[in-house]
Amino acid sequence: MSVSFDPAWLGARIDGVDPSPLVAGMWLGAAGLLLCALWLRGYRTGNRIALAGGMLAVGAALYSHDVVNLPEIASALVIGGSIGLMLARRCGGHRLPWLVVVAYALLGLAGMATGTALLLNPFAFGLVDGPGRVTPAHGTLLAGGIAIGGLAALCALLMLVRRTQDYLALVGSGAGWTAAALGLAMGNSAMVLAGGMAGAAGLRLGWRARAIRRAALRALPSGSRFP
Amino acid sequence: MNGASLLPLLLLACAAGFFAARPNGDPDRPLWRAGLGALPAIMLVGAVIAAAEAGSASARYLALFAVLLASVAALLLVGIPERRWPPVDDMGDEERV
Repeated sequence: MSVSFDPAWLGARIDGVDPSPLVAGMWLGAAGLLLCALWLRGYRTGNRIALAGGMLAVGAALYSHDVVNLPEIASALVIGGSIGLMLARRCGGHRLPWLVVVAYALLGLAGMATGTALLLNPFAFGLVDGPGRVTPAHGTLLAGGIAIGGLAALCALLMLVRRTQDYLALVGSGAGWTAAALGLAMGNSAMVLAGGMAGAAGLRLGWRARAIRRAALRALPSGSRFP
Repeated sequence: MNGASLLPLLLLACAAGFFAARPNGDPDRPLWRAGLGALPAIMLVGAVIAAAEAGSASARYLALFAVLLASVAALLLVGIPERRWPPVDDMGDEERV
């Protein structure tokens, strides 16, 4: 019995056409780079590998789709990238952790906007059934992605208001699950892989941080108060 | 493209993320300084694809707004770990995981 390779696993089949080896290799290469970045997350090299993986995934997305408004997309990328780079370089050192929280809030909002744009244009991604309505499975995935993105943005806002960073890993996990849900709806393997990895890793890190906080509180003598 | 065919890939990614999120070996590099944030920045890809395939004007501008937000967030999450850190860490031990 022969086992045939199904390119649908790569998630890059567009309009019923299997992905070219170049596009499939770009998706898998991006996913591999992001996995290496997660493994090396404690070092600066991991950050740069993640940047390379993200750039490769964006390149694969632009190469494999019939882009109708490339100037607008490039303009938005350049403007947004310039704002982010300026903030990351100019912001004071003591504000950097809060800037990470702001970035997670922006990712949650971006997930909400992307999910809403997909709902407004479901025909382009094959999200509709025969009568032209969004299928329940795709609708559930999009609604879940929008809801998780909104929850992540709301939690990030609450963290900024309450001046706490105890839930940073969980907010990052929420942004990852948003990307995974939208990737499942769109059929994009890179988003599913990176979102799933970020979601699971954030949940584990958040759970461990919670356990460490509880252990630290138990270690305090009863009745003790911070000054 | 059936999203159900990607479910095994999602499970594989969850397992990889769970095992890769080991305790940080460098105690001077807490979570917000690590490169973990660059992973959710993959949202930029979804925003770019949504903007590329946008049909109506409202969907197009919404997707372009998503591209703008996601690109700001991606540069922040990638650029901040590249900064030099202040000598005093105000994060507390709970974030050093």
